[in-house]
Amino acid sequence: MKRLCLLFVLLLSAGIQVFAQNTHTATGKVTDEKGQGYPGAGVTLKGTHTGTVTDVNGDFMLDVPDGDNIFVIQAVGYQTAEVREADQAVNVKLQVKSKELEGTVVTALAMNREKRELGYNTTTVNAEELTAGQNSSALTDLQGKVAGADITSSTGGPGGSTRIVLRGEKSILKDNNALIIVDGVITNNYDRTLANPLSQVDFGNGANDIDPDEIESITVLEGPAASALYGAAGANGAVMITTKAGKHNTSGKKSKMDITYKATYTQSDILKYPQMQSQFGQGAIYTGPVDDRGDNFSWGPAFDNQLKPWGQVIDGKQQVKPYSFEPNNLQQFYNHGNDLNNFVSLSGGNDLSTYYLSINSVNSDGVTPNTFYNKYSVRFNATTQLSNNFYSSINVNYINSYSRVEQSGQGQGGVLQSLLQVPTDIPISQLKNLNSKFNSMDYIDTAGIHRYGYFGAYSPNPFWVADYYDNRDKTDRVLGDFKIGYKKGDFNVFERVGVDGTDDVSSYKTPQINSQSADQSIYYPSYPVINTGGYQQNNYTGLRAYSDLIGTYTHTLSENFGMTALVGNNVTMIHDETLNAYINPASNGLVIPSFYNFTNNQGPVYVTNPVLDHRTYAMYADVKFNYQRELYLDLTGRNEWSSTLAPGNNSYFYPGANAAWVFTERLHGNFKDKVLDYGKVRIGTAGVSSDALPYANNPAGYTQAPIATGFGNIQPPFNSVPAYSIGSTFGASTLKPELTREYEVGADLSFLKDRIVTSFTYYNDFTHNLITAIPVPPSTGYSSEYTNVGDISNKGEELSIRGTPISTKYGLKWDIFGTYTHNVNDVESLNGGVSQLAVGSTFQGMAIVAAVGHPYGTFYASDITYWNGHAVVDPTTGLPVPTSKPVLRGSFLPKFQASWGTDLSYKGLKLHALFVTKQGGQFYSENKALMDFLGSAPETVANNRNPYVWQNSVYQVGTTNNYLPNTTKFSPYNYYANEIGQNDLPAQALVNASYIKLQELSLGYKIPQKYYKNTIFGSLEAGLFGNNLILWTAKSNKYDDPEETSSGAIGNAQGFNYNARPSLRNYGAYIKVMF
Amino acid sequence: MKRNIRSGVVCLMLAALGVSSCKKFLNVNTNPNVVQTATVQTLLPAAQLLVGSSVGVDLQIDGSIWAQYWTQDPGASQYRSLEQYAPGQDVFLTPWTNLYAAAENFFQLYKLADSQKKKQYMAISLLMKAYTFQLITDGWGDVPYRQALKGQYVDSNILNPKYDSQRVVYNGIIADIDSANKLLSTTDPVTPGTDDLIYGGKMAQWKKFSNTLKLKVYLRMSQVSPATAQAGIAALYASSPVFIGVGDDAFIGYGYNSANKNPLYAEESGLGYVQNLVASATCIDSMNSNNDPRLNIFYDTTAAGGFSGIAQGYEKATPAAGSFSIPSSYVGGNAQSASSTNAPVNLMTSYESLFLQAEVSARGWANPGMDSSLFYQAINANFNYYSTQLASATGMTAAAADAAYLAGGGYWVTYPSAGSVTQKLSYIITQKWFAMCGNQGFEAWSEWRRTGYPTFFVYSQSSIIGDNFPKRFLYPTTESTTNSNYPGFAPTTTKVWWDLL
Repeated sequence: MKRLCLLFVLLLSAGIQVFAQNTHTATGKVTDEKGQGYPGAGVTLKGTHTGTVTDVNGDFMLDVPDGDNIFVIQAVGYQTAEVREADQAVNVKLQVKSKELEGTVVTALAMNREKRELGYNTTTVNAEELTAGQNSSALTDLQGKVAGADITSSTGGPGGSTRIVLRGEKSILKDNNALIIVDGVITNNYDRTLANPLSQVDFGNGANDIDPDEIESITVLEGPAASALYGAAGANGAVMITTKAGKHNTSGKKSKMDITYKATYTQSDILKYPQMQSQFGQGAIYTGPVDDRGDNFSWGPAFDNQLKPWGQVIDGKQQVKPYSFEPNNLQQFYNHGNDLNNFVSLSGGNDLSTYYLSINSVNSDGVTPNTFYNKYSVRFNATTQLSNNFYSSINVNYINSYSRVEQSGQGQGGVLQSLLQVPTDIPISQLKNLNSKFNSMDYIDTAGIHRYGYFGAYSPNPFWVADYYDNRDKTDRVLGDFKIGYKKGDFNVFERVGVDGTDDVSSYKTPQINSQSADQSIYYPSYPVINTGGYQQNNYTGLRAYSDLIGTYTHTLSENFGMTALVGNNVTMIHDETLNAYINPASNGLVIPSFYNFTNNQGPVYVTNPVLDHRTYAMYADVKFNYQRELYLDLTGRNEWSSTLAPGNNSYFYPGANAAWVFTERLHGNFKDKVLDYGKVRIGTAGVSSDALPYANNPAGYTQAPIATGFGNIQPPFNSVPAYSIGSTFGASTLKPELTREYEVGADLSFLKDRIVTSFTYYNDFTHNLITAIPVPPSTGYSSEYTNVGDISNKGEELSIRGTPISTKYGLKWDIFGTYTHNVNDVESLNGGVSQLAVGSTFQGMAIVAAVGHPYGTFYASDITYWNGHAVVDPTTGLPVPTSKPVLRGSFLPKFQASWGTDLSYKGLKLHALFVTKQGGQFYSENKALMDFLGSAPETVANNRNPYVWQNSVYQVGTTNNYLPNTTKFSPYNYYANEIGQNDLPAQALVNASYIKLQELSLGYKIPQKYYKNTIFGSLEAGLFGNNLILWTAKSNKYDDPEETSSGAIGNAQGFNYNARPSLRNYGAYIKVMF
Repeated sequence: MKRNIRSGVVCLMLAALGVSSCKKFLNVNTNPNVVQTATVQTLLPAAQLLVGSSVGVDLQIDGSIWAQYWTQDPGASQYRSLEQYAPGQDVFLTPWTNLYAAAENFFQLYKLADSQKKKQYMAISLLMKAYTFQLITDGWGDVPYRQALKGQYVDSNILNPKYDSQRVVYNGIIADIDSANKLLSTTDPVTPGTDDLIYGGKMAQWKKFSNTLKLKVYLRMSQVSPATAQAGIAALYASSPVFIGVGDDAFIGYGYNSANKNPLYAEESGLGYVQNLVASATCIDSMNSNNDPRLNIFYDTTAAGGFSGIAQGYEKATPAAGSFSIPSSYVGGNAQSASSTNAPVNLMTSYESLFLQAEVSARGWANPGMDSSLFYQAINANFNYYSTQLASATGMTAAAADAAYLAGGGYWVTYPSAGSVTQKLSYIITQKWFAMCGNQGFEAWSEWRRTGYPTFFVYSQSSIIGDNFPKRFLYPTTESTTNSNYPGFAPTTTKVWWDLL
């Protein structure tokens, strides 16, 4: 350690030298592969903006300082060459390059590096590829374009959550999302969701704030090998977003401003509706009164299409309709979503400075009534080169968003649940007018009594819910960075300070209501609608601040051998503060209805103000060696100190190494020219340690927390007496950091002059010492302890391929491309005698767990008991017997993912299509469980609802091990409405999550410039597009888009759809004009 | 030296950024959202509230259903599995967790008070921990005791506490009461005030609590260890003990504001004010046959007037609303009446104390010949406890109502002074059961398990274990899945140690 530190100091001081300023004129010639002089090639002195272009003969002259100079030669279609000056002259022969596999790429710390140098896999998606489908989320736009990434876009529409996990889930407790980095600065990818997946309000996540049109490119660093330099934060890989910037103009002429305007109009509707049975309508003929007009059950008689009264009798009147199936009923509730996106950017530059300014607005109305999402953002970037070798840049992005979103899941405020509780024959289109007494939830009758006239006795009118339950989120966010550097010759040092500050206020209104039914005859009086009303507000302030001090030094040791050294220092500060205030309808309540203010409370307002501080500092070094542009070796090391672990455990060092060999440099002749023009093999390994969540190693401590029972709670102060109880979770200072070690090997190949380009990677990750809070027996006095709990492995392959079957000089080009991702996750071991741990929250009879020997995210739920593959039933009822305890039933993780796309372009016209698929995972569908219970699910009509024998069933003889074939018929009603309905078999709500999706389809046309040559227009483009367009699911999935989630983007309990917000199909048109 | 160079280099780099000291920079990991040390004044009420919520919600519901005061409304289903005598293990998760949390808080309170020489707080924490552990062991039998509550590192980090036999737990409880008694006898100037939610720091009443608790603990051993029980009680009486009398009832009052509701009512409001609990015919019929005026306190009348119950565990159809009684707001049982919020949670009452004393006398273990008088005092204490409620419900004074009841000549009313001990016990415990209707459900169920009185319990109509009664709670799954010393599943039909019936 001592030696390493000294090395840092030496390396730093080595750069601080005084350079002589005498100059001379260098001359040179640039030739193409045939030896002809190449005109117009760019020649710059490496590390400066000093440069020129070659003349018609390929010759150039340039005044340069005395000393050892390197020239960088750039020419369209050729590999960038670096040549050392020899006797004040330079001669360069250009080499044709592989467009796909060469060029530069943004790597960790926002360093540009040549792709050929890298000993690990990265994927770069440029602006045009990224926005081909015009999704409003930059992360959703990546779907199907990055091998190794598991992207889950829950709503697919504006403001929704998008999760991106690279090379598998690695942590039980902490966020598994990749680090999202904008222009070198880590951003705050926080969840704007309520913590409870059972009644979720999903306002999206921080990463979706970045406007896709502002993005120049996204580079995904799949594994820790690529992101080791980010330390703990980069343990899950990184998504590096490079925003657009102004360009230098070295033509000598006065530069003009580039203006781009883009307008996009998108319409949205719901991608997949749950399918309803069409044979039976409202009622419950198997129990109770046949003709319960307030019922939410569709367990009534078969449809007879006869006119029949429905709903309540109000003022002696009742509505009448035919008793028949209402097709497309749910569709009557939702609107078409509209989204108008305007984007303007201004940019320019001269030889010393650049600037870029963009303004973006998104105004959209959601599909659920009253929901909306509005976002405004401004970005400003500028760079300048100062005369004394200093340079600096600034990059600022301000984002303001405001949205209203419906609550999903259970509770009176759950829109989808109240909607699904409308029986199959009740026309939803007729429930809309809340001024009609027949639909009203709260009108005052002639006696002054509050009444509801809505037909349903057990759930409120969904239109009323969507109107009165009002959940909003307002965000102000500033993120950006400031950089100042000094660059001279081979030496470059800069300091960069990045900040992401967020102010986010979310509010949740619960209306006060106390209505009696209008109809006081038999079905309604027991079901008044009562809620004391409530209000919740969460004010979140999040600050992320980073400082990087980085020095680099490039040295050419000999003509063939070079090295680049980098040392850096990073300081990270995270500070989060939240002020939560809650008037809880269950324990408190509003005084005056519709007045949502914390002074309007019946009892004390429950207020908490959690504060969270997390700091790290780190020093790192990276030394790269290259030999003849053929062999590359890269050694990295980082030592990090974290605030969240105790001294002794809070300092950790991890080294990494990777190497690349461009073996085609060894090849010559026909094989290289005609078959394999470029080939590289690479190998890498890296470790990333990851610290604990703040305060996880603290003792329990005391708070004035509410004393909770199953459903109620007592909130201190109690009768004005303060009451502090000890916390239920504790940690220990012995907590060690998590460590992920990864090995990867791969190859990048280009055949037939770039006609076929492919990249393959195999990786093997092992994460040790996972930190999580494990449950401890309550008899210890506590419920959980933070501890190092076990190990998880991820092994897999990433493959991407692109082929160009047709490419003609007339401009016709046909590309096909695809990716394949296969990851095998395994929970290797857990400590302390624990066989499994819950991931995220659980609900009765159902958990998502990490169980030893199983993949992460395995469902753990009660299911039907099986004996030798036969369902075991109860011999008296014929109903399946639930397992005595929950059983493990498959994971939410897909077995593999793939994508397939094609681009067809001819002159300015371009047709693009992209299909994506995930296969082999499962998800929990509460829509299925609920519709089974309600009798609206298609499977409830098997055998016309007459009793039948469970297929291949057996029964147990007494308590023996004897099983005999069963002949007792079961009643479908008892199975679906009781056994499923009472949540005895939650595993039966697991649905195959496999799907194929037409993710993107677009047709764009760039109008040839000849038509507007002498106008102000520089470029004109228009197009039609769709994203998330068509979904094909497994046959057994009649319910949901498997991508929908109730756990937001950050929650680890994915695959859990508890009546989540439906996902959207988006389509529209855009125009783009450049001046 | 090595360390100095390292931190020196680091600090050099940090210094450039204006960070003065690296150690200071990283020293932000003390959780600012909790306080590391509470005060005795804040810890005592929190621990008492945890006991109140357990006794007031889960033990009250489970006890009152299994003591056949209440039954599940056939139109709803929240407590159906208790009526089926087939509850899942996690029906008992909340009381197990909250009672151990309460005990943990009393344990921490004891340590804190000890370190600050606050003897009265030490005494109260010992008594309340003893009281809490009796609830735990009476519910679940063998439970972690000697190794329990020691999860944190400072308390030796025992994550798999061993289970102790119930006798060991009882011995520990008695030892704690004895220790508390010694502390109580001092004249420490520091006493609790309003932070003691039970007695407001009145140490004379804690002394009575201590004696009554000891009496109750010994009497619970009357079947399994009669000699020990008798000797213990004799020793207790030899110290001229004062027991809880009228006005000394140990209870926690609720309803001070909407966030301080009676815990049963808070539970009901959390369940959307659904009336899950209704009157059981077992209790209603027996009280009706006695013309018991206390029906007016414990239950609401039906729409037609009068009191009517639903047969225990009946679930075949939903009777019309208003055709049966529901538990009243005086016991926090009416889910739709706001006055349920004010119902107290009884921990140990004057009538309980008097019935215990009557039993001692009837058994001849102390105070011979006083049993008849104590029996009537106990009934009277129960009427007295509800005098305000009786006046408002019936317009009668407690004394008048009591007199009318005793004069009514109902069953279990005329004490058999000349009868056998068994006969006397049947009167004492059955009357105790009437008195505890819906206000001390768990204690009534425990006394029924110990003595078999009342004798007229019926099997739940939805029992799926046939003609059997549940005799214990189940260990929750948090215990069975995480404690390597978990002794294995014990079904509800396995009796606890002192239950020999």
